[in-house]
This record gives sequence, C-alpha cells and structure tokens, in this order.
Amino acid sequence: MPQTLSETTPMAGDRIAPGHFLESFLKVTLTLQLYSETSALTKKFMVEFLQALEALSKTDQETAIKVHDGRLFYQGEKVQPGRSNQKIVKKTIEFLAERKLSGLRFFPALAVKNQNQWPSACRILYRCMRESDPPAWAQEQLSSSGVLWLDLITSDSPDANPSEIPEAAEQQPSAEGNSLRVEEAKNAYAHTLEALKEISQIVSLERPSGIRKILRTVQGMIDLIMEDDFVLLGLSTIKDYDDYTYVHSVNVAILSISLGTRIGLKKEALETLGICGIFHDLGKIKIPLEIINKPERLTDQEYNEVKKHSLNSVRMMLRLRAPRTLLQEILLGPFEHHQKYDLSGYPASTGKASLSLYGRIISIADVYDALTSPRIYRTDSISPPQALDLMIRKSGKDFDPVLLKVFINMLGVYPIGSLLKLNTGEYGLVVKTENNSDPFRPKVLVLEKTSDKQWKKRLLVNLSELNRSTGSYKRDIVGSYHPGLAGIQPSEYIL
Amino acid sequence: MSAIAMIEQVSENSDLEKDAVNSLAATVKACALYPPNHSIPSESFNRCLVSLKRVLSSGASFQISITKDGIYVSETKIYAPARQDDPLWFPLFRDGIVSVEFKTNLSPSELQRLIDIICKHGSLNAESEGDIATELWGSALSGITYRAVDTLFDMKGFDAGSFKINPHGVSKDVILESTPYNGFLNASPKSKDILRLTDADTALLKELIDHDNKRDKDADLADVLISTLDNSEDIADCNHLMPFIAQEFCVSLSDGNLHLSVKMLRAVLEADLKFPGSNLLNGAFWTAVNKTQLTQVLRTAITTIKSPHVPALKEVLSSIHPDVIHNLADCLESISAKHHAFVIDTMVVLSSKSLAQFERLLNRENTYIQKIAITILGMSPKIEAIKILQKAARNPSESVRYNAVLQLIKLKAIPPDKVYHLLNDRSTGVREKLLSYLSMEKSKINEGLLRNFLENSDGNIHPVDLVDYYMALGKCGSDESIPYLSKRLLNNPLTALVRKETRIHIKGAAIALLNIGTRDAKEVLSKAARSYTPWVRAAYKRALESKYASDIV
Repeated sequence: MPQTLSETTPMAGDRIAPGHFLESFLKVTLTLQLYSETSALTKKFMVEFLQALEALSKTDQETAIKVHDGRLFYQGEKVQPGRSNQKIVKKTIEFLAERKLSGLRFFPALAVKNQNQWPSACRILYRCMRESDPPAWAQEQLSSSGVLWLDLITSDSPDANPSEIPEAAEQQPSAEGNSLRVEEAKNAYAHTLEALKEISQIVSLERPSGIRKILRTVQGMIDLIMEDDFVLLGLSTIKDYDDYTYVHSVNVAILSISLGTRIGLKKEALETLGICGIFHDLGKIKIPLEIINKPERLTDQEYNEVKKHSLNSVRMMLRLRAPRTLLQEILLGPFEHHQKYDLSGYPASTGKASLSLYGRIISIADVYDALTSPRIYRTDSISPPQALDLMIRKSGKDFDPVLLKVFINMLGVYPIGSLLKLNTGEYGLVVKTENNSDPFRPKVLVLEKTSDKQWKKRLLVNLSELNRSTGSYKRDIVGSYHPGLAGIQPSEYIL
Repeated sequence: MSAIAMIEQVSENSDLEKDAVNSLAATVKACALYPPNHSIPSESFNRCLVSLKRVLSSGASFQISITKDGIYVSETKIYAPARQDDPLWFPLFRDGIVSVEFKTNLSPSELQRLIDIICKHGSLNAESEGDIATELWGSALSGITYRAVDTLFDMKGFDAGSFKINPHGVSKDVILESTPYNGFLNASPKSKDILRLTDADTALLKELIDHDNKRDKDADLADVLISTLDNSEDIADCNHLMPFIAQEFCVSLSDGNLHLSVKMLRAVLEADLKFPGSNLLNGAFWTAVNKTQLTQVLRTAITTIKSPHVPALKEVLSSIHPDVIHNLADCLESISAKHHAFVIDTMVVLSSKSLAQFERLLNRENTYIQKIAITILGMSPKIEAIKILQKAARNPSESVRYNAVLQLIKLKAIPPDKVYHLLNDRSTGVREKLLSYLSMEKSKINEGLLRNFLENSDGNIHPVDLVDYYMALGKCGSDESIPYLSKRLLNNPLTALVRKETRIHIKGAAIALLNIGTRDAKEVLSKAARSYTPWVRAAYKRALESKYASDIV
C-alpha cells in the first residue's frame, strides 16, 4: 500500500504536509506576479511560506517536488490527489509544465536565510515563461542572482525521475498500463509453466504431444519482452523448490529471449530460442527424484545419470508434433546446453567446431538460473551477483565471452532480485537496472522487517543518487545475499 | 435518430460487413486458384480492400469471429462456409483462430499478407503446427490482430504463493547473521572495463549471428540424431530415433548431401553392433523409411549426381538395407540408359548381401526388371542364386522361366532332376533353349535324360517338337541309344499306319541316328533305307536331306 500523505493539515506528525507547502509556495509566487513585495497580501503569503520553510528545515535538508508521468511527487512520494488538495496538485503541475520544468528543489534552511531573494526568484520563474528555453534562461538568471536555495529540475536532469519514492508510489504512475502488462506477464508465466508441465507429462508417457500451446505462450512472452523486458525478468526471479525443473525452464526461456532481444535477434529466432529454453531440461523428468534432490554429493553413477538429460531432452522433444523445420531449429540448443563454449562438456562433441548461437545463449541462461536457485544439495545460497562472478571467471571456457558480457549488462552487476546490504544498514532488493545507467548502482526497494519478522517494502531508492552536501553517494552496497536466505521471493516484491 | 433510422443504419452496416467478408472469401479463393499476376485475384483484392475500408470508415475496428459453423460479427452470422474445405473459414477454424480484427489503419500490404497466409495454409489437409497464428504473429501486422484458441489461456492463473523459494526452511533471521557476498565484479576496479562492450565485441557478435544464420541446419540435426543414437543404451531408445534418422537420410539424399547420408547409415550400422541379434536397427531404420519417397529421392540422386560423388552414393546404396533393390528397380523404369549401368552395378553389389530381394523382383510384372534380376542372379557366385534360378525356371512367367533357364545353362547348373519339367515347358523358347543346351556336346548324362524322357513321354510331347528332341538326343548321344532308336525306327511299321505320332518317332529316330553318326548308327540307317515300309525309307531320306541342309547352313 502506498504511504498516505496528509492532505490538508499543515503538519502531519513532525513533517509539514505537502499540500500546505505547495499552496504557500504557489500563493507567494503568483501574488508576486501581480503585486509588489510590500503589498499586504504578498506579505501575508510570504509569512506563510516562511513558516512552511522553517518547518521543513527542521526535518529535511532539501525538499523536492517533481512531476513524473503527469503525477506529482513530493519528496519522492506521490501526492495522492484528494478532495481538498486536488486543486493545488493540479495548479502545481500546470505551474511546472508552463515553465517546461520537471520539478523544483528547495533547500529550506538556505531559503529562510535569503528571504530577500524570494521576490526576484519568483519573478524569474514568472518571466521565464516568455523565453524560448524557460528552464535554461531561469537557471542562468537564478545563478547570476546568487539564488542557491532553489534548483530547477528539468527533464535532462539526472534526477528528473523520482529517485527515492515508496515502491507502491512508483508503480502508481503507470498504474493502468503497467499493471496490465504485469498481469499479462504473470499469466504468460503461469501458462507457460502449465503448458510445459502438461507436455512433459504426455511425452514422459512416450506419447506424442502438440506444441501449439507452448508456441503461443512463447510468442506472448516475446511480445512482452520486446515491449519491455523488465516485468518478465522480474518474474524470472521466481524460484520453486518443488517444481524446480519446470520453473527453471521457464526462467531460462525468459532470460534467453531477453538476451536474444538484446543482441538483435528477429522474432522468429527469439521464438526458437524461447522453445529451446522451455524444453532444454525436459529430459530431467526421466532422472529419478532421489538423484535430483539428493542432499549429498552424487556418486559417479548418479552423475552419469544426470548427464544423460541433454540427450533425453532431445529424445523427448522428438515426441513433439512439430514440423521438421521447427524441430531442426529447436533440438540443437537443448542438445548443446552442457557442451560448454570450449566443447569440453557433455555430451561429448564429435567433430564440431563450435557451439551454435542458441546453445551458447541457453547455456548462459541455464547456469545463471541454476546457480541462483536454492537447491537442497547447496547449503550456501548463491546470490545473483555471486553467480555472475562465478560465471565471468569461466568466460571464454564455459561461456561465450561476448554473450556473457551482454548478459551481465542486461541484468546489471546486481541483477533484478538480488538482495543487497547497504552501508546504511538497510536491506534493499534490486528492482531495476536502468538501461544506460550505472550497472553498479541499481534501483532498489528498501525493505524493513516488521515485528512479526516479515519483510515490508519501505522505500524505492536509486543508488546512484548523490548526497548534495557531501558529493558522495547516499547509499553504498556492502554486499549481496541470495533473497531465499531471507525467505524472500523477489517477484512478490518487485512486481 | 429515430428508431427506423437506427434500424436502417444497423441493416446497412450489416450488409457492408457481409460484403466485406464475402469479398475476402472470394479473394482468398481467387488467390488460391490463379497466379499472383492474374487480373482476377488482383481485381478481387481491390474489391475486398474497398469493402473493408468501407466498414472501417465508421472509425471503429471490424472484428470477425470464427466458430465451428461460420463467421460471425458480434452474434450475427455473416458468412456460412459453402463446404467443409471452404478456403476462408476452414483454415482459420482448423488452426484455432478465434477472431480476426481489422483496424482502421489496415494497409493493402497487410491485407495481402493475411490473404497469402490463409492461402498458404489453406492447402494443407493435415493439422499443421506451423500455423496461421504463428505466421500472423511473425508478420506483426499493426492493422490486423487475431486471437487463437491457445492464447486464451484456459489454464489456471498465476499463484505467487505456490512457489517455494527455500528448500531448507531457514529462519528469516539467518540473513542478519551471515556475511554478504562482496566479490570480484563489485570489488574490482577493472569490472567496468571487463563489462564494457567494445567495437571488437560488437563485431564478434555480428559475426556469430551471421555465421549462425548460415549454418547447415541439416548437418546439425543429423549430428544431434547421430550423437543421441550413439549414446543410446536401450534398443527402444534407438528404435524411437529411427523414423527421424530415416527422414533425415531421405532429405540428405534428395539434397545431394551424401556425406550426411553416409554418416547416418554408418551410425545406424554401428549402433546395430551394440545389440545382439544383428541388423535389428537397420531393419527398424528401413521400416521407417518412406519407400515411395525413397524411390523419388533415389531417382533424383541418381540422375543429378556429379561424378565425384558417385562413390559416395554407391557407398550409401550398398550400405543401406538390401530391400533398396526394389526402389532401385523402380528407378530403372524412369531413368535414362546412361544411369542404368550405375543402378545395375549397385544392384550387383547389393546382391552380395542378400538375394532374397531378387527373387521377389521376379514376381513383378515387368519383364525388363525380371530379366535384370535374373541376370544379376546369374552373376552371383552364391549357391543360393542358383537355387533361386532353378526355382525361377518354374516361375509362371514364360519370360522368367526362359531367362532363368538361360542363366542356368550358362552356369551349367541344370540338375538332371530339374530337366524333365523343363523339357515339358509350355514355352517353346524354354524348350528350345534347353534342347540346344543338352545337345551342345556329347554327354552320356544328357543322352540318358533325353532318351529316358522320350521313352516315358509317349503322347506328352507335341508332335511339332518331337523331332527336335530326337535331334538333340542324336547330337549328345552315342551308341548306347542305338538299340532304342533302332527299335523306334524299324519296329513299328504297322502301328505307323494308324498313328501319325509313330511316323514322327520314326522320322526323329532316323535324324537322331544320323546325328550320332557312328558305324552302328549308319548300319541301322542302312536297314531303314532298305525297309519294305515306305515311311521308314522316307524317314531315312528326309533325315539325310535335313542333315545335308543343316550341314550346309
């Protein structure tokens, strides 16, 4: 649930209500457009604004108001428009839009000290509307007037998007479109899982099975990933001990399709890749569960049994009623997924020069998901960053080095679903690594533990955010955990 | 708007929709029947586009639903398929398309694509997996959307609570006690460089994708199948693979990828060695081969093969199951003489493996194939081949018998006990060949056979041939036959009065004696010359004349 913000009362607890601050700011700015600073009305509103700033300065070093996707955020929190503040919210959004601004940042303590600058600053904000580039003009004027207590946030600013907002608030802005996409993705995930189980059961009875249902689900997943891979990548953090093989297969399909999308594969190739991912471990259902879930180290004989699964996958896939052209494409990935980049894996390769593209992609996705899935035989859960570390050490041997690079760039050094410990003592779940942003500083959802030992979403923060006064990052990463260690199923928190 | 006006409007819309779907159906039909550049499909397409645009001019999209009994708009049926294989409704319904929606931004090229897809899949009778929905999905048409049965997701929904992340059931406080991982990528200052995609990386990636697009998919599939076969420890697993290997084998042969054909055959033969009761897999492989397809494939391979690949093709054909002889025989009927030698050579090679197929070839009603089979059997050094030929000598087909006898003669492999029925063969040719064989040289055995045959076949031999038998006896005979011939020539003068056959025997005996030519034989003949019965003297005289004539010849 989003945090509720007091709408009308000037103070809510120790903090000033956003509606009150915005109202006082708008009043003083708009009044100064019409009246001189000596007028009674102006003076009255300046006092109100001063009170608001003084109150603010006690709690916050800085106060940011931003507009994102048509929604107003105050200190990173979405201001819920209510009956009483609806007008203020609307006016503030219009105020910023007229000036082509994404937001304003106030430094209350400084503002209180420099009351004499308010009229000129407000007039600059008024006059800039007439300029061709209002933000640039206003920023220049403010700087030349020595106004340091007010920053203009433009769409170009690195912090134009809300960086520190409660997780629910960030989902709200795109509520309709995003939640629809999340629902579609969840359905696609569930249905792919179901279809895979259904097919597995049929082919394990050595009966032929249609493939159409899987084709449709993979096509659906591709459409979603091509639109935005965030949601399905979030779902790919799902781990399931009981249905490990099936969940793992769907995750591998998602990761493979996403990687394929990143390297620019066409839709048809992505479809093949997705099917390869879905079926790559089909042969595992032939391995006795006692071996799959054996807590101790496998004997040589048991390991040999496990090694048969690639070929068993091929055998079982041959029971799919797929046209030859499709079969020709989808067998190779599952066949090769343990052969390794240097062909030192299994099944032994005879006379092959190199792995196919699908084989290389599936093997990367497979190992990543396998490493990050808690297994009974692995007492130390491997966190996603640790998994990537392990993989990069085998780059060029087990994995195609270039594809692995693309893969890590796609997931970020701290992939979605990683549980991070921050230097602030907080725990944060990685929810997104923005394209073109610092892969070492993702966006995380800060979690806090409730009295009943449950993890609760607290705050969404961008780890690349700087502390203005010190110039250093507000939060640093101390290290990572596997979310399973805290009993966290990341997708429940991310989506 | 008044109620009447509304009704009129609805009715008009319905007519437009009907017209649009009908013109779509007509266009699909026309496109399926005529070549693309023909005016009929082109005009039909234009009409269809206009009709659809008219419906879409209202500003709303136009959705049709495909059900088991026709095409609907909302709940009104606007198109009823004329027949079960209706070119518009059938492929859409069969491939599980539930609805098609035409958007207002529909472009002519998108409509054309839809029609092309329907036509392409309309021609398939069997349910296809590479279906209309997949093609529409791949085409990503912005002006046409669709829903297919399997996209409706009639399965249970997403249940986040059903996933169990941790097998160990750890306490949620564990995290507070453990040290977080802070490894290489996070700690290393070089990490950013390691992860940076360079131009060289991008070039490598492009090369990898390009290379992958060009890879030999047939070879890859063959490798997967072969490797799976190699690693199969169970005969059932191997058998399961055979239809796929057989299919790929035919494809490789047809495409001239003989190295792949050879590779697959070798794999099958090698895998066979793993299991007791040899040739089980090769048998299974052969059973899996589509024989009609194989004949076509072989015909293509044989007629298009380039000389450097001939040894490979021979290896393929000689390694394959011997039953391929039948396919090769089928090919013989439709290939040029130039390629016959290759096929026959291959059949000869295959005969060293098994001859049973050649015996079956004799049952074909094609005399040419029968002759080839017998010739090849005649070339075989195996005793089994002679047995088959001897059996063939009793084949209902005159041609088979004749050629079999010919081969048996060449092989000098007609045992005495098989001669009797051949001497009685219905075919003049067979009889003539046999007699000519028996009379090639002096032979006590042949003499005995013929004499015995003549002694015991009174009334069974056609009078026309009787003289030939005596002549053969004379050519291979000796003084041992003189008592018999003398008796035939001189001892039945009175019977000859009433029986024409006796007169022929007299004539034959004279000819035989003349061909024996010994002193004793001449003595008997001189008695005949002096005989008081005119037909004995005449027989002697005619024998002399014919001998004289044949000597001149």
